[in-house]
Amino acid sequence: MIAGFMVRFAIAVLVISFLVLLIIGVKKIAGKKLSPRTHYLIWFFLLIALTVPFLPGISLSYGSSFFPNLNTTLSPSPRSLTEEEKVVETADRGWMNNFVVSVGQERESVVYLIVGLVWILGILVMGTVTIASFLRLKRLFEASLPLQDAVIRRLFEECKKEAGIKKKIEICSSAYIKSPIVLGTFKPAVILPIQAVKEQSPEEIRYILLHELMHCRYLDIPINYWICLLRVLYWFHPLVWYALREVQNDREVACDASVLTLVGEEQAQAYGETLISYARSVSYPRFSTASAMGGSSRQISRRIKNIAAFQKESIWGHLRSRGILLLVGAAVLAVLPGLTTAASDDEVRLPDSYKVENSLGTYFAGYEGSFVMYDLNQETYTLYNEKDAIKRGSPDSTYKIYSALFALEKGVITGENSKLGWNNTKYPFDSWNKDQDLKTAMKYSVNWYFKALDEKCGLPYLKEKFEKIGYGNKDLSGGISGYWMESSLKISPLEQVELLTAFYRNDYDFNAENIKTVQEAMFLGETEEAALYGKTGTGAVEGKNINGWFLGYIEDQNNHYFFSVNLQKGADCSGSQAADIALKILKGLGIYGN
Amino acid sequence: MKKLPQISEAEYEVMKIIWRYAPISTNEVTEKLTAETSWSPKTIQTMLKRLVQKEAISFHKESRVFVYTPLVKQTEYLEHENNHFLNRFYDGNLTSMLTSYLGSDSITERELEELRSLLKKTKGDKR
Repeated sequence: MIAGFMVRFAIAVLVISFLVLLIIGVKKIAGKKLSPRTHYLIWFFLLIALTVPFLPGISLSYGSSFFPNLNTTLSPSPRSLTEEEKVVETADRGWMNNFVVSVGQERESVVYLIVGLVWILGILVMGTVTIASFLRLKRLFEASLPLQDAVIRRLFEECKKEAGIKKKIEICSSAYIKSPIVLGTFKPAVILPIQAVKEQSPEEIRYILLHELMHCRYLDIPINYWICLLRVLYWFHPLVWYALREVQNDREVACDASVLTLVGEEQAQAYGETLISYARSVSYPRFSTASAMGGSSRQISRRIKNIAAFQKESIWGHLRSRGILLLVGAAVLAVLPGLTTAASDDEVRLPDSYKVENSLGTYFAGYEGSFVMYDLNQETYTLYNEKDAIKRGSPDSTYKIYSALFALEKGVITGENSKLGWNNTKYPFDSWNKDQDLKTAMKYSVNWYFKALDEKCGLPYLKEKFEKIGYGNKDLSGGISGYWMESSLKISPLEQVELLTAFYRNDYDFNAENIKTVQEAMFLGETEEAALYGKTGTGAVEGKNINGWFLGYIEDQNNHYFFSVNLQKGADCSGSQAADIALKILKGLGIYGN
Repeated sequence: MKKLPQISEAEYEVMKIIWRYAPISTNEVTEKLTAETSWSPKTIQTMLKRLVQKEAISFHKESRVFVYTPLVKQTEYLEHENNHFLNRFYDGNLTSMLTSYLGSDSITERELEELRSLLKKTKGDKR
């Protein structure tokens, strides 16, 4: 759980870094072509992207196509399989036996746990600071009184009218602040320093009030709280901090521009002078030698530059701004595929025509699992538990069908000569501790045999082939020694059946001989009417069987049936249990066995 | 955190004197304020009493005269006196929570001059 979130979050963090750079780049290149408001609005794509990982029910599937390298380095916990693999079961009961090697998850989960804890600790610290700030602001707000000065009150009403704001906004004065501020999420209040009330000219106060009213109009206060929350969550990310500060700087510039749009270009100079004279009165002379904290003197010079250069935006300029904004939006959407589609990567679509057989549930007594069958003549699917049937999981040993096929295609082994020598490593299954050919290796699900085939083929070749046949999520980032074993590669039962059908019909134009060789190795038994081919698979994590597969097909004189049983929850979710259930179902349906 | 006393615009005039000259006696406050405003000494004394009640200021007796000192700071929301990293960090965080007209930072007279000329120059260029 934690590991899963942390991995997805780590990918999100990388994508976000990229996004920050993208936005900065666009802003740099577009420069003055963008209106100040658009410069500010562009950041909202980032704010949304920063928020999405924390929204419940939205799973991230950040760009496998855009970030190929990212996937290979960061995708779902690559698990290293070593020779100290823990073994679950030893008895040799032929093909239905579970030759399972359990996957150790402990070490990685500890790392994720530590990283997660550090992150949460940082959030707690940052959260505390932020809450303290918030309480202090609240205290400040409570200590302010409704403004008494009648002249300024009237001025405020006029400004509101001028800005076209109908909402009720309070105006207060405070003895404790030096700069005017706006506070309050839902009931905003403009708070003026009493000092300003006494010393500033009405004209200057008018500019200040208009500026604050623009903040209210553009909902800058709640947006600012949103930014503060993001700062807490991304406390570890310097680029995000930088970006969020830029958002706030751009907000002020945009706010200035809105005021100037309202009052007219010709007042730009007077407006700028107000800001400068204000900066002077706010400034503390005794610290004038100290370098300004947080670069806010940079903020003011940026604001002054923008004010000086202000020109009312033409309609064309406005359209151009919005056009660039839309383009960036489109780019962002492209960079974050599936940002809004829940669980897009781990679920697949149901076939166009299928029927659901709920009655098959009786065969699954004590287990949660799914059954998928494709009737070749009728071209229809029969499903039990269609929800699980479209959910992707690790293929475990069922992948060996394709591992064998690819090795034959590459010429690593041939139908006639598929023997590989045992290297004398002692495995817990006697049937593994001898030389193997494809038939025995398939029958006893000999991991070392297929690992050797995979290594001879090489990861790039395998990747290409898995891509070609569209095997589930096609993700081999788990590494050559175990990508298929409760690791990165995932496929749904429905996809397994579709693929097995395609494999049987040789839709992908493999060498027909090779297909035949694999099929022979998959042969399990026959009756007078029909033959059974298949492969089991068992996924075990920390010694417990959690994923049982039986995948295969029935060949009879008139028809072919491709099926999969997958067990997800129950006492012993193993391949042999899945095979047991599959055989009962096939018998029950009158397809195989008597 | 203790509540801050609410100080009205009129009371602010009194506070300004106390902030600047504290410790300061009743007579001195009255003297300075009557020079600036039209308030009677009685009004001023009433306001001093009210500020004491609100706990904005405190007083003690020094040989038959009352001497006042402030209990609250003029800038409660940012204290620039402290340059310690943690305080700066905290202040920075606080400022970022606000939508204020101007980040309350110090700026030198020279920088201000530069800004003024920047405002004029760019304006001139445009024409």
